[in-house]
Amino acid sequence: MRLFLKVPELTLLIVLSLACYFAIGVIEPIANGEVFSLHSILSLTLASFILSVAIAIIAVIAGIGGGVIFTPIVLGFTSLDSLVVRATGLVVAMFSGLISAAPLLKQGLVDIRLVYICALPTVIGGLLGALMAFQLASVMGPSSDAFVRVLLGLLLLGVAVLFITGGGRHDYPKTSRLTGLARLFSLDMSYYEESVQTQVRYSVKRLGLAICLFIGVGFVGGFFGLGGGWAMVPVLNLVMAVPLKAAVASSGVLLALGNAAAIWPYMLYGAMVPILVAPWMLGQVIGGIVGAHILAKVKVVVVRRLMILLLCLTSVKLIYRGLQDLDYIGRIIS
Amino acid sequence: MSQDSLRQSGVIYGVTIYWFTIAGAVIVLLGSFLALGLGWTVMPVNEQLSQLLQGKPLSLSNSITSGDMLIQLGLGLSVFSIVPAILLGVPRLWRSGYRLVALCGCANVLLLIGAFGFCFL
Repeated sequence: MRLFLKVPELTLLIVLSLACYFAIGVIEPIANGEVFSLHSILSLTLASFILSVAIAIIAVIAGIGGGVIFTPIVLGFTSLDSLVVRATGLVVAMFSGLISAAPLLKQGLVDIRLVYICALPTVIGGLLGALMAFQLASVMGPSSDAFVRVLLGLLLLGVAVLFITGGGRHDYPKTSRLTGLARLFSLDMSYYEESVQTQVRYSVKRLGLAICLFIGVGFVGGFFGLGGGWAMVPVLNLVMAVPLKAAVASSGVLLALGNAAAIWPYMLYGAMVPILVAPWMLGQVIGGIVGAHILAKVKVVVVRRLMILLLCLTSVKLIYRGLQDLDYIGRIIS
Repeated sequence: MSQDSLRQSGVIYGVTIYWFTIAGAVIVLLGSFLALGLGWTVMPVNEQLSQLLQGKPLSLSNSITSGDMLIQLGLGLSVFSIVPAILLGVPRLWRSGYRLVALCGCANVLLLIGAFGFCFL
């Protein structure tokens, strides 16, 4: 409740959103079609909005970007065109990061140096991935959707394993002298850790390797519309030795900047369907603000366990559907 | 090298994006009202949804007067806010001695504008 008083723009956005959907319901302008009644269109929009708020809160707290939750679930459980889903997934992935940048940078959890440096390879990878997505669709035709489902399912299984074996993560990695590229950029950093009431110092390591990895992360994020936040936290924490909480916070902000260029090809090719994207974008903005304000206080363990379960279930469903569409399941049974 | 300037540069970046994104969200909301509330869409909403749920791609021609276009404008404004956000914060980074980082920020701006130009111009 205190949050709504502290952040009046959040309250205003929630009130405006609810008033808008209420007004749409009252005006009843859309003629009831053969397939959809006004009631079902409004229910679909409201459900998307509420789900998006929930995904954004989880995404900011876990530092993963909402795309990794949205894209696989929608691809696995609906028959929407995969390019449309991936375009919406990118919006879901990047908007909670965009809106949460201000509170996280003010709290000092995110260092802008890290964002600018790591965003460069991510932007390049993301743009290449998005362009490749359209190339694949034009070369393979309708079967590209099934192919993408199988690939994404396998990738998600890998991500789930990464989350499960994440016990090796370092909350506070040891600091050491700066070397190589990190020294050139003077990447000695610190932030105030609220939970232990102390200033945590850290030095970035292995920047060159991290830059190569970020190109790959950007590519996968742009290609699948996942965003890539799920891979950014391990790269920041395990490769670059950024403390876990700072890595989680930086990942979201980095994700927003890193995926910005990947949005344009999806808009250009008409894969961004405005009435579908709108409630997801609004939900991400509202959920992103809420998530950023509770990140400093929350324990991420519960969110991670929920994520692992969700990833495993969705990946199995994706692989099954992809193989079914490619007619492998039918051939195996017969 | 000043830590204060570094922090301020980050805050400028975050705050600029924050307010642009909120403005973008309001535009998207207005667009949603026009599209769903008044039916100002390029293609009827019913038709759009039924095509989408059948797994067919949509080919929407953007009309400047439609709610669809307003939603795209709101999205584009929020995404493009990264450019002024970086440009406003970079001089402070440069003056405080983090010149290589400032150059990385500028390179990000060039990439974003370049990608936009490559796709739309």
